[in-house]
Amino acid sequence: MFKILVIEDDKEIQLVLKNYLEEKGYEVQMAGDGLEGISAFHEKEADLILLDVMLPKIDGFSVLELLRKESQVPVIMVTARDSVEDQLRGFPKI
Amino acid sequence: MNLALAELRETNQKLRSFFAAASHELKTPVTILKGHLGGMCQHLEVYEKNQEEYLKRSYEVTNTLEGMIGEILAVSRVESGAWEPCMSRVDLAELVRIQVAELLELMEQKHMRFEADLPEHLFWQADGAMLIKVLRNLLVNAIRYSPAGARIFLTLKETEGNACFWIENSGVHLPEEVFSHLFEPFYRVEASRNRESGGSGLGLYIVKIILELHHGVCGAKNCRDGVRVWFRIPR
Repeated sequence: MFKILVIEDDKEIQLVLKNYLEEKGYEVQMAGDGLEGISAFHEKEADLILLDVMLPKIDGFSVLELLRKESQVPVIMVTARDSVEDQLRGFPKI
Repeated sequence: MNLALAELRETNQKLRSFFAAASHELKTPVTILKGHLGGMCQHLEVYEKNQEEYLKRSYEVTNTLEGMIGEILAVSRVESGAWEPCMSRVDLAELVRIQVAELLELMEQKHMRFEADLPEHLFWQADGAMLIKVLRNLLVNAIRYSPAGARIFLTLKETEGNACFWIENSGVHLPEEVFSHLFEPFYRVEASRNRESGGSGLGLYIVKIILELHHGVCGAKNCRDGVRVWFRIPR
């Protein structure tokens, strides 16, 4: 089954994403902060990561940088921070 | 002239940052609402099976949203000068008693113990409605961020020409580095970022700007059993 790791700290947004993705038949794993997200990825490699930016402990941009040192897993940034500046900040790390 | 221009620029910058942060904060509850309601409209299985639960969750999110909009409007009213302090002789001890009575049920729900050290009366020139807001925001914060069974202790006394308030809640300490940011708009202590606590992120900022209108000051620090927030207003 296609596995998706969701790294998002807001419990209610986690639930919305889980509901939609499971409905489509994906296996969904949740992580509530940046460090937990990295550990979850180490424990069980995902096929896709949905990554929030404003996360406790380490932010989404730093998570992405750490992930890129070891994996080319596709990452979609899921965030309210959608300004051009934020998008430009994220692109080089993708 | 240069100084006035610099001040104007700084104010504009502050306003821009505030509105950028406010729109960002509002996006989260709107996304959740869109998600749950969209799931119901699209008849997703999990929403069909648990419709009542998701309607209830959506309703709770609208309450959060309403609270946030109310706080943003309060900030805007104070900062634009539309809510000017209306000074009159108010009994600060009585304001505390009124506000505490309104919050007793909330404290009982969390099995909290409330204690106060108040004078019978302490008359002061102040805007009563504004100070009620200050007390409410501080007490609600203390209730919200303390564990069940915690103790809240409020002290009011006159010291060196100031009305001094201390609100102490037990059961939780904060990292020292957060105290210098605590009264900034939308600042959240990391552990509370998941919004389970339901705060708008503006409560303490509103406290600060209201107190500034009264030439007062506020602060917070860790104490032996928890966190102590204080403020004082000069006579």
